[in-house]
Amino acid sequence: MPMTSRVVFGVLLLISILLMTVYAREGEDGVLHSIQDGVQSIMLPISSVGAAGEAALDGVGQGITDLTADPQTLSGLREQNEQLRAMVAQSEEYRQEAERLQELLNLTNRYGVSGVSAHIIGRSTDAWNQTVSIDVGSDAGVKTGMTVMAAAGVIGQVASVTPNSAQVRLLSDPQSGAAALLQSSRAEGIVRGSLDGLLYLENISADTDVQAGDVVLTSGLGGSYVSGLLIGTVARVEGSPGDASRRILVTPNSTATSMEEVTVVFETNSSNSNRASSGSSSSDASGATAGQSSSDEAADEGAADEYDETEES
Amino acid sequence: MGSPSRPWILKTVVAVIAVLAQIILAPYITIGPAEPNFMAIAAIAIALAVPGYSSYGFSFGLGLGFDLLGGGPVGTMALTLVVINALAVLAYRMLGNDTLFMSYVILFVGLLAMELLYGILLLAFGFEVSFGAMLVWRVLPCTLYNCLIGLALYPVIRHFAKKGAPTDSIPTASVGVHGL
Repeated sequence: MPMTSRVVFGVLLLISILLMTVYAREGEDGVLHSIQDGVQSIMLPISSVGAAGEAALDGVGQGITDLTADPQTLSGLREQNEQLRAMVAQSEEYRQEAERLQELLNLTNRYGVSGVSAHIIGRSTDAWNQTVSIDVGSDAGVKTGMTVMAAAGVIGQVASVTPNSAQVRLLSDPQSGAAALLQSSRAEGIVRGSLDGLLYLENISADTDVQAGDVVLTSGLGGSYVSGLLIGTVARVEGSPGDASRRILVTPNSTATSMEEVTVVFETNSSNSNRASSGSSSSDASGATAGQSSSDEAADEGAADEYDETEES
Repeated sequence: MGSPSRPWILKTVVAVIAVLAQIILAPYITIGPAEPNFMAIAAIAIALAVPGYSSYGFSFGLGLGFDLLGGGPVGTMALTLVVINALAVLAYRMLGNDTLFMSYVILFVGLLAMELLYGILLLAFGFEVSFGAMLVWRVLPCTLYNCLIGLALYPVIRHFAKKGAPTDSIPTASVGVHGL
């Protein structure tokens, strides 16, 4: 029945175009967006099965790797462990000294992070989006736009929220962009994800000297990410200073692993101190970057790679 | 031969398996940038194995499901699969060749066209990547992966479709070309 086929084809085509048009025109709180969030939320228990399976396989793989590690690898790891212990002891000394100085100068610790803990329980079901699902939502105070961190650094930003879950768009997603700065030179730019899964630092002025190993932090500009959080380190610079088309690759300090614990950052203590001095009562994390006091900037120079992590339920 | 409800049973089973595989399996069996699209493979395979106007609805449903489960614009994969379904059926009928080889050719070309069309629609929606990067890092790798999976799954679907279908529902060259 060719006419029936044509009618059905035409109707479905029209419905699809209508859905696309409505989705494009409505905001994040629109009907289709809400339905999409709802469906993803409903499917989370099913997707967590896959996440648990991946975590289990990762554990088995790691166990096999550990068992079959050669003596050279083990001795190298022991040596590295000793070096790290020494660095931790030294860092603890610096931290205590910084605390004493802060008390003397009546400054607050601006590197405390407050937020809520969550677990990664699912991943995006298509190749075009790099997102993960976490098991906390608006009931726990999570809002769209909040920064999400794993143990060692920023992994992404909350893209959508339901009462008990949230979708996090990873830094590696091509649609992601984080205002960033280089710790050494304080030069500001934007870290963007890409289809090849790499992070690129863009919009850095051409005359800024960028070296492999430079630490990249969130700058907080534009309010998209909380400031002062670790993104990663410069892996490679393709081009030279003065070359406007150079590409700066960034290795993220953290990646999103299934069932891994992450923190949704509500605010850092720097935003607390800024609001206290300005008299604002907003608790939205996007307000965390509303300027910095000059005394805070003077106090934090060179200490940006240390922070304490605290949790609030 | 076969009951009229067999194609619906087959489609339901294939749809459920495709959705579950997309949620539970697909995100964790990526190879580099390539992630399989079980729902699209199922839609095009069913369109070839059980051709008819009802397969448009099947493609639309799976496409809409894909959009709702993922982060892309709702309606995009639905539109893509309906169009690819129509083109695949048209090619199948015009060629008038019911061999497995020809079905594979149409399936693989359909999967490539699906990824390409979906990518183009995303670019139209403002996806901030270049066409070349999209082609190299998503369209081609995902198509290759989908084809490998389709290579294994299509014969199974076709087998069960042929077992249950009445003989006059399989189009051949002698039936003539009816277009859509």
